Amino acid sequence: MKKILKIILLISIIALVFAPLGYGKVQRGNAAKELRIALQPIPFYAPLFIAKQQGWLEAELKQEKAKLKWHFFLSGPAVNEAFAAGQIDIGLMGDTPALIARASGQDLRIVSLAASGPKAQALAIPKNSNIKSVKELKGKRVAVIKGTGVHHFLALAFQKNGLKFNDVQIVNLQIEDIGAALTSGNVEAGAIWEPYITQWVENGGIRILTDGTGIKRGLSVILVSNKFAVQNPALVNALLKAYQRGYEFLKAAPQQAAELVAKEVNLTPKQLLQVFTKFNYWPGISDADIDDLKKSEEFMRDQKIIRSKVDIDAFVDRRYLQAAGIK
Amino acid sequence: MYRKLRLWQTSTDLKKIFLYFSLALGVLFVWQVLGVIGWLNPVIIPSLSTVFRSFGEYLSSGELFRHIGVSIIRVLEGFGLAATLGIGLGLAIGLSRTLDRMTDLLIQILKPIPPIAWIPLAIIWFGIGEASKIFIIFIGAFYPILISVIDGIRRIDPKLIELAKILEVPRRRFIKDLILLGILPPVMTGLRVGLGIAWMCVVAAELIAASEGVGYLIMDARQLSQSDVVIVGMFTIGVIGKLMDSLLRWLNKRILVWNVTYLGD
Repeated sequence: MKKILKIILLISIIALVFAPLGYGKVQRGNAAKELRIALQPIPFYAPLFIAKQQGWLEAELKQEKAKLKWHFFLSGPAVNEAFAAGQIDIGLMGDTPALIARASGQDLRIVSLAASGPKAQALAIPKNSNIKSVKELKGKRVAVIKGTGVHHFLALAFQKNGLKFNDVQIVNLQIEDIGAALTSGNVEAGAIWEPYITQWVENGGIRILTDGTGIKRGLSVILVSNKFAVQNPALVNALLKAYQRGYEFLKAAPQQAAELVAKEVNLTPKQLLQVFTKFNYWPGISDADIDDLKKSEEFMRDQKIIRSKVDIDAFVDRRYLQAAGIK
Repeated sequence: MYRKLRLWQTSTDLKKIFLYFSLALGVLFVWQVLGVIGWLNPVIIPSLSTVFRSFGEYLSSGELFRHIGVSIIRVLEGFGLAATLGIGLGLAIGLSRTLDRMTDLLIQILKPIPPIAWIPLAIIWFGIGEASKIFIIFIGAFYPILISVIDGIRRIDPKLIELAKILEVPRRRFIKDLILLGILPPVMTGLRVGLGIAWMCVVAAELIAASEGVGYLIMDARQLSQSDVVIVGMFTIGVIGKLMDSLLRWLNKRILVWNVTYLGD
């Protein structure tokens, strides 16, 4: 009797350790159709913010009897975690976190680009810094959020200047803290993106050592859970159409677009008009884009940012773009 | 007869050892089985073999030891500071009624603030370098040590204190032979608790802003979606925490044995 009790106790303790795994699975089965989008409030996704403000996406989804839910995060790796936890269906992020998510074994697909903007990524230094070139950063403290697009950009910028990642002291900080650390001189440089570049340069705390021109195109992508996309192609279609509509609106009426986007992104319409010029918001994926992703994949594997190979041709699924008439 | 007894004894020893490791091994076994039969989503929980492989890689490259070394030095610095100040201040407060009354409210209010709540201020006050991390560790370890000293003094047998007063034992001997020896057991416990918290705090501090250390290793792996490396970091923290505690417990035993012998003289 006592023995049986002991065995039962043992089994229940082990079951308790693994219980959280089962919990997540039960939660995920939902009957009502819903589109859960995760992204950062940054100008990379201006067309989607226009569609959000104009209610275009909701209207499209209403026809499919689906609800829409927005989730905001402060970096791509954070969106990846939401994907892994099964809490979102669609995420917008840089190509780097997307590749990391795929390399970690998540069943995701790139269905479209969101933007490309080499000048929207930058290596920033305190305004009164004496540093004049990337080479001078050797041995200095450089803040970056690992796993983001600018992490990849930083590695490329170092390589171009004959530096290795180990030649500097990498400090992991949240994006807002990077600004404070640069201004107070706690770090000698930091890798940042828009809208922080514009905000902090105008605040007078920082200046730009180099941006992504000629280093990294700064692709950001629309990433979907493959299972969701296969089951709900119409919802993916609705999103892509709304994005395309936002893109056309932005091109036709940038002033109005800036006013709409300013409600979502922490920049003034005037600043946004300037920032828009740094981006190409065309969502279509060209063969050149695919080659670019392949090069990124190789480089990231080389730098051990990812540890397993990602088959880009299988990762990028252009059929949804074709279905939405974007080519 | 004698041989039989010995055999019986070794078998109970074996049983003890088996019992000691059984649950931990059981968890590992279930983990591995679930992984092999494909019940685990590798994104959420990597298989045990992946974790072991990463563990081996980080061990053989020496990277794990570098991170461990950095974290341990931080803990020793913060904990050393907390122990010195905690014991010093605790003695002062314990021996002076005025000081006790003056500091009590402040201590009671500051004590429940979790060390991680100090992180924003610590970064502003001390920057993102070593000082802010040592401050966080200090905050975590300080209060349990301080309280153990004050409580230890309060719990010394009042009869002994009265006796010392009646016999007009000089103040120095009173403190040295009665107070310091009397508080030894609770203070050893306080130090153990403090060290445990210090070890947890170093990880918390390194999660926020660091360039090396076990906490940094975990944060780094988190951002690169490498949950196997996250588990390697967590496991490392657990094992080192256990070793530190065992070390202090061993020290505790030795010191207290000496203490008991002395009292029995």
